[in-house]
Amino acid sequence: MATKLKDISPEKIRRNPENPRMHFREPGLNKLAESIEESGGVLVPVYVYPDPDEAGMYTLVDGERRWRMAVRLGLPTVPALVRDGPPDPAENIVEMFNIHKVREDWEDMPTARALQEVIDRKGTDDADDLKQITGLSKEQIARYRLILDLPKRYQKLIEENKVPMNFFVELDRNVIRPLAKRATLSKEFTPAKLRKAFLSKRTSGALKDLIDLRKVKPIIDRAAQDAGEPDDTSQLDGFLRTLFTDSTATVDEVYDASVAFAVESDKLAQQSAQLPKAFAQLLEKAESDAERAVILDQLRITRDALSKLIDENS
Amino acid sequence: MAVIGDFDPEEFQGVYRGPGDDDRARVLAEIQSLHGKWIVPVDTVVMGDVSWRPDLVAPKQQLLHLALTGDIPRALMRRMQAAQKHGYQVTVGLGSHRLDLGTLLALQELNARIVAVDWDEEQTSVRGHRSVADWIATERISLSPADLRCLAAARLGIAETEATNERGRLYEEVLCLVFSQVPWLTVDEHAYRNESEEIDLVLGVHATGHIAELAKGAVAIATAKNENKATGSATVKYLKEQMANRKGRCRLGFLCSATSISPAAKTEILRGSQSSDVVIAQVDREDLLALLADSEHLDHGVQALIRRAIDS
Repeated sequence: MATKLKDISPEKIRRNPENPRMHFREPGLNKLAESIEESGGVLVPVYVYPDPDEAGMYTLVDGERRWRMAVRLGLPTVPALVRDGPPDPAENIVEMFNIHKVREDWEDMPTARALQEVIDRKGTDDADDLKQITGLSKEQIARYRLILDLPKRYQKLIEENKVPMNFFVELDRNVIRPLAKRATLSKEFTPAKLRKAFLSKRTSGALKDLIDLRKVKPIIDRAAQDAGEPDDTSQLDGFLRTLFTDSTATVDEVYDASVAFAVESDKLAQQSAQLPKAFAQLLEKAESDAERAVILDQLRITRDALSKLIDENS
Repeated sequence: MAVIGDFDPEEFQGVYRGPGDDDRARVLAEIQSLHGKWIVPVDTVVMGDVSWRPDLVAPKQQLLHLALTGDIPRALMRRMQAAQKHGYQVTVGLGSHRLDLGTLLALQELNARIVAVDWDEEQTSVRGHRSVADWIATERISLSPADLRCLAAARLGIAETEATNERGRLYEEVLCLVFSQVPWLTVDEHAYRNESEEIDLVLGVHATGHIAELAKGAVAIATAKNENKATGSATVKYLKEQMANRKGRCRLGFLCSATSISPAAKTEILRGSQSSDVVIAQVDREDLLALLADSEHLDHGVQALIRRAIDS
């Protein structure tokens, strides 16, 4: 594919209808205006191809922000890399992806939609293929595909910046998928119900930090462990029901009341189990008798402290 | 907020990145529906060596720029200034963000009209204002004492070099700014005109306690004169008529003169003052400059002017 650098009037450039619809935010455009003013014009060329239907006109492949600002500032020309012809539809979206992901991040919903275009146009939904084509990581692909599967009204919430994409990602990872192992409970609390429940929790202010969602998984996991079989019940199910039905119940409250003690003591037990191994490694690394003596002293102090604690509490 | 590895806490929590083009389109449509004159331009406006494609244009050389975040990049400010020099009237649509003093001064110098925009996901409303001063007064925007001093000084500075009509308008703007910053006053009307009367400023009095005792009514009227000569008795008579027309709701008037108040006017103020409870506070050039110099205590300054009128 041959390209040529030319100065073109922004009035002769049109937006590419094939390109995914992006959001251009005022603060970003203002920064660009400052940068254009300071540089005396647009420095980075936009990327266009000649309009096959109208001589002298061009269609944009990349550089919509720069082109829009050039129009607003009434710039006489912008530098443009002109391709010799239009890219085929499948290649167009891939080119857009490669250009944009390198230089600037798209927002979540436009990226997800562009990914859907790639899937449709290239006829593959294989994560490895998509990774190669788009430059996105497999993790990112999984996240975008997750939001593409959401009902349109939730996609709109992400698009309008009312709810971050990570809300749905974290909810899926820490609530919806872990709960799927519990046959009865997951029938009662479907993914749709759970999304609604946690969105209203977010609205009521009971879910201030998305990180809190990560505390739901240990409750679900413990309940599953306690129940044994997927159809059996656990005493912890009541806590989960409260969490899922009471929009004012915070994750912290339910976590503290249900599994916090057990989770914390498990963590401590795991760390304690590592302790002898850690001392053994230090003793192995000791290069002199003096160093060995210091470590042995520390080991004895730890042993005595633990013995005293056991004696006092037995 | 710091970015930790590839984990950006702001991105994780979905930080708002500012109004997008869809928000701007919605607000511009609302402005168009309120004032049918505005249309989306199809051509670039050329002003000497500078060109600009504003967000909306209207007949009689009117151009509108929408700055929902209140941030106006120099590239666009330069174009607005060029537009003003070439005889265009610039209107700026502003959201509820606080503007820095530099932007306020620049917009004031442009004689920009302001469209105040309230917008969120649910609804959009827009209200037009004739000037920065009108916008500040009507939208009840709080200025720091230093910002008030700068905006007023810039207006008074220009006023000295202008023709009478223009001087009068600029002086009214200064009074509009000053009275809008007194906590117990609101500027309800500025340059009010109907078939029978012209009132420079109609002020709402929202005082309680001893200030309410001084102000005496729910409405106050300020008349502003910026002429070369001292303000005379005819102005006082007209102010008294305007106050009387408010049927007992207005017992406080401000006679404001950019120069001085004539002895005849002072006599006219005193005429009949024994038998009526009307108070007319005099604000001449020195008084206004003193109010501005001590704008940290504007409230007390205005109270002192009223007390002086009562005591005289």
